[in-house]
Amino acid sequence: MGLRFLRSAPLTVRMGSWQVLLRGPRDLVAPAAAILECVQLTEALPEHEVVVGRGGRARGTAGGTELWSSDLPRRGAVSGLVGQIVAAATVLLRRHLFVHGGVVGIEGRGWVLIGGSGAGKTSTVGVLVREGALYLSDEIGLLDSERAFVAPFALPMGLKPWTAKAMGDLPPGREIVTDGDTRYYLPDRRAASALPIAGLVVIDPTAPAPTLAPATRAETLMTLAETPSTMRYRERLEEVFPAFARLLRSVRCYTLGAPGPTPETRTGLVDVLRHAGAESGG
Amino acid sequence: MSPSLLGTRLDGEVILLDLKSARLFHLDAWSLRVWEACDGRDATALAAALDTALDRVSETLLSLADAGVIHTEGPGWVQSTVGWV
Repeated sequence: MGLRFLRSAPLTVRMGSWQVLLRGPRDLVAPAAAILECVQLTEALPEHEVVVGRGGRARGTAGGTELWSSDLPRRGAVSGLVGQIVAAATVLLRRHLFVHGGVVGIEGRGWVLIGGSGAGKTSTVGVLVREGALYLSDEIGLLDSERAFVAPFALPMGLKPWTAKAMGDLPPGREIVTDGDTRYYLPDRRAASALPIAGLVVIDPTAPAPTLAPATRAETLMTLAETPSTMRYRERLEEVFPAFARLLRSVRCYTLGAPGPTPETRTGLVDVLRHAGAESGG
Repeated sequence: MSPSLLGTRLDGEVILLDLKSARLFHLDAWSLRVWEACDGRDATALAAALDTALDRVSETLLSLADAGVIHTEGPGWVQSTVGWV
């Protein structure tokens, strides 16, 4: 009976002010917990309970309400589970907006990097951190539209083989978990707290790197609307659209060529952003 | 009744959000000129006021109407109500 109790006891994952209770096969929930515990949220969110059944059927609830259910893939189940829990966090956030993107800090100011799938967000973040930027996220930008700050969401970088190739050498850090062909890698140099936003940057894989060009706020808002963000939650659009508009008025907007396979496209990125940050008064 | 369109001006450009369809519309400089001129005049009067060919104005009016940001009232075109943010 004692062993049975231990098997059914949930694994408690503490992500700063958010607690997630994970129940399921240990070889699935333990690595997911190791990845998730790297995130330290400051916004208090309702406790999230997750149950994964034997067949890979998973569901997540908060306050007795089902937030999601999913059949986890056989290959990459850990990534699938982590992705669902991160998505649940974005649903529960109220004080922060979220946008799918990378975030780095340079000289005390935050740069939010957005772009379509495969645009090169993760490799750009990796290169910037290797060059001396602080790591805040390669997945979620947590935006405070009132203050125009961005908070860390330091999920380990999810490195696919082609992403690692585009990055070249990894920044100093440690591997947390490997799931299929994805390595979860946490850089050592991380921001401890939220930073004022210096700029919103749309990664343009067709532009030469490292080239930073001004973009209009209207164009950037249109790109944000095409990017997974709080604007995807239709029931909150009336509240969220003004918040994004307010945020955009407070920051500068740019496009940036993504680093490519050659070393010269990977050098000087931090200097480009540092220079732009200084010009904008940072 | 709250408007079904929210709008914001960013550096002189306008983005409109249709809350019902969750669609965003970026009014470029030309569309913005036409949209701002929609005060109840018909297409012919608008083309004269904008000093532009009727065909071009009519095409833009239809695009704006399709987006739900203008509608007809009597013979003319008027802007749909926008809640500015």
